[in-house]
Amino acid sequence: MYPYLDGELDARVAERILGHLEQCPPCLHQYAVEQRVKALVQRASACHGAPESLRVTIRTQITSIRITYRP
Amino acid sequence: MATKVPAATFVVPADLSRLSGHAVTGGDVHRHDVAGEGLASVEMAPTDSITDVETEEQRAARFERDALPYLDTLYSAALRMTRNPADAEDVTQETYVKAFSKFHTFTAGTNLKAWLFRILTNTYINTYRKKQREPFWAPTDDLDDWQMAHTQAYSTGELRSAEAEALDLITDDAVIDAMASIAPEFRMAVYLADVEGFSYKEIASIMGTPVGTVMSRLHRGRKLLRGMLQVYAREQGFDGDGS
Repeated sequence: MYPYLDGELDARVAERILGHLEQCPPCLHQYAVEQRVKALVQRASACHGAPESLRVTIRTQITSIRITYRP
Repeated sequence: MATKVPAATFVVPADLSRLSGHAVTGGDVHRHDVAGEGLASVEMAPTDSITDVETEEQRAARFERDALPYLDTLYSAALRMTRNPADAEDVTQETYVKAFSKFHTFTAGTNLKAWLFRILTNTYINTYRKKQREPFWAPTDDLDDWQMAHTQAYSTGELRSAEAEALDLITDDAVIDAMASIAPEFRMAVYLADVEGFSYKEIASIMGTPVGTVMSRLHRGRKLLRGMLQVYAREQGFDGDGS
C-alpha cells in the first residue's frame, strides 16, 4: 500500500490497486488512514524559516573560506 | 607510474581539488568522506563539467546562487531531526560548510537538493552519535519491537471510519511529539518521503541504504506513528463516542 500511497508504482499497477480499493472497504479504510497520517506529518512539519542570523553566519563562513584559500 | 588520462574524463584539476578538499575539515578526512562521497560518486559523470572551467570565485558564486536557497528547507529538516533550534542551527551550518568544501565534486544539473540532504543526514548522524544521548542508527529492532507491541494492540482490526476522520483533529504538536518518539532512521525516512516528497530511490541515496531498507523503515516508522496517533485520538475522545 505504501508504494501506491507514495506514487512509486507505474500507472498500470497503480490502476490495479485503485480498482481493488474501490471494491474492498477494509483496504479502502486502511488506505484512508494511511493517507491521513501522511497528510498530518506534512502539515505538522511545515517549513520553518531559518533565522536570519544563521543565513548571515553561513555567508560569512563561506566568504572566509574563500579568502583563506585564495592563492 | 603515471597513467595517461584522456582530457575528456578529467573532472577536477588537482590543485583546485586539494584546495577545496582541505578548506574546512582541517584534516578530518574520515568525517569529510562520510559527508557525501557516496552520493557524489553516484552523481558524478566522468565527463567535462562546469568545474573544469570555472574559477574558484565563480564556483563560490554558483554555490551561493544554487545551494543557499535551500537554507529554510534544510533548517526545517534539521529542526525536526534535532528537536531543538540551537542544534538545528549547528547541523545546518556544518552542512553548508561541508557542502561548500565539496561543491567541486557536485555535478551541475543533477539533484542538488538530494545532495545537500545527504550531507545534512550524515552531519546529523555524526552529531547525534557524538552526543550519545540514545542508541542511534544502529539496529534498533528491540526497541521498535517493543514500541510496536505497545501500539499494535490499538491499530489492528478493522477501524471505524469515525476513527480515521478523528485523525484530522490531531494537533500539530501531537504529531511532532509522535515523530520525535520514533527511532531517528525511521523519522528521517518518513520525513524525506512525506514532507520533502523524495522518491524511494532518492531517499536510499540520501540515507546510503538499499531501497528495500528505505521501504522497511517507512513501513515500520509509519506503523508506529499511526498507532500512536490513533491512541492519542482515542484518548482525546476524537473518535465520536469517547466524550
